[in-house]
Amino acid sequence: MNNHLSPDQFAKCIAGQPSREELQHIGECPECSAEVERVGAALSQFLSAVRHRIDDRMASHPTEITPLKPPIKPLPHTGAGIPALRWALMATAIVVAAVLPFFISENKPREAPEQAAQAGQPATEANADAIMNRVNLHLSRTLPAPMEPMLSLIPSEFISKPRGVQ
Amino acid sequence: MKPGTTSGFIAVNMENPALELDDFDRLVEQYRARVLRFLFASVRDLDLAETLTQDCFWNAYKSRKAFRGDCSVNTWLMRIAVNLVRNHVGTRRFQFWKKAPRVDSGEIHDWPDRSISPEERAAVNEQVQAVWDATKILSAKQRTVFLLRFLEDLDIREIAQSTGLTESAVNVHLFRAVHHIRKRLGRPQ
Repeated sequence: MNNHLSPDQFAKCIAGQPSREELQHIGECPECSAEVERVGAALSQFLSAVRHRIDDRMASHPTEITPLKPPIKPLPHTGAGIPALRWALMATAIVVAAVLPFFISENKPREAPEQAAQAGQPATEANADAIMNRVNLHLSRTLPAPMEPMLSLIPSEFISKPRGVQ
Repeated sequence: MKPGTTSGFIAVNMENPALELDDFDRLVEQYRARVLRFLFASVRDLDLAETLTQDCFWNAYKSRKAFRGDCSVNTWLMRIAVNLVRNHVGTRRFQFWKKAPRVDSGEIHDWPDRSISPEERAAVNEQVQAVWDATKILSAKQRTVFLLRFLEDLDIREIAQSTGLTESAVNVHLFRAVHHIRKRLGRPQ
């Protein structure tokens, strides 16, 4: 027959909550008393060792805590697990992609004549002839352009033909 | 009569604990060792424990207006510390610290009492290391309850306030923790 404390009763005694019967048993049973004392001593030594370690640490880092200074926090994460920084980079890329075509289109008119020049030489020569004809016509006018409608009121024999026109 | 008692080196205002928060620098000075001790034994890494201690006091500072004084400041700080440990277990930050190579940061050794013989000191170191190792295999709740009871000397009601458990649940976790640690310590030679 086993008259010693059960593991649960030991745990209660070591945790500092023994019942009257358990206390009485510990007082009478040297084995159970020694066991409670042994575990209690180990826990006490553990406590002292941890305290000693912390005291050492605090002695070497006396002013580690600054309560008014917020601690450095990691970047907040979204539900999908993508950091906010990545979202910011993606948004920047989208904005750049949307704005870039406008910058490109501003440069296009400057490039157009050059492209036309490269497209074909005959078209350019035809344009030059047309421009020269218009200059000649302008120089051969007897009246300024706004007054030309008045010429219809004057008989044709009084109007001198422009130079160079047969 | 001055409404205060002295518990160890900590002067505790028993009538209105909220008054303790008026001088926050002094509060940090008073409770830093206790908070750091609990966090160190919980996360088993002094550098991480220092960071969490900083977080604990920062959270306490931010929420000091909400503290109604329905428990002691020590219990209130321990509740914040317990929540920090709970939040950090499983986070990337904790995983990083767990995987990072340590240089004597998470171990306790070298029994401070030099008056005993080297043989006795070796035996004591072995016992301390056994308890330290035993706390590692406990469940998170068992470890928290065990550390609050034996390291911080809180009573069952204060542990229940700090952890959000019922007093009967605290007892269950505490007895199981003690049982595991006793088993780990083994039979006497």
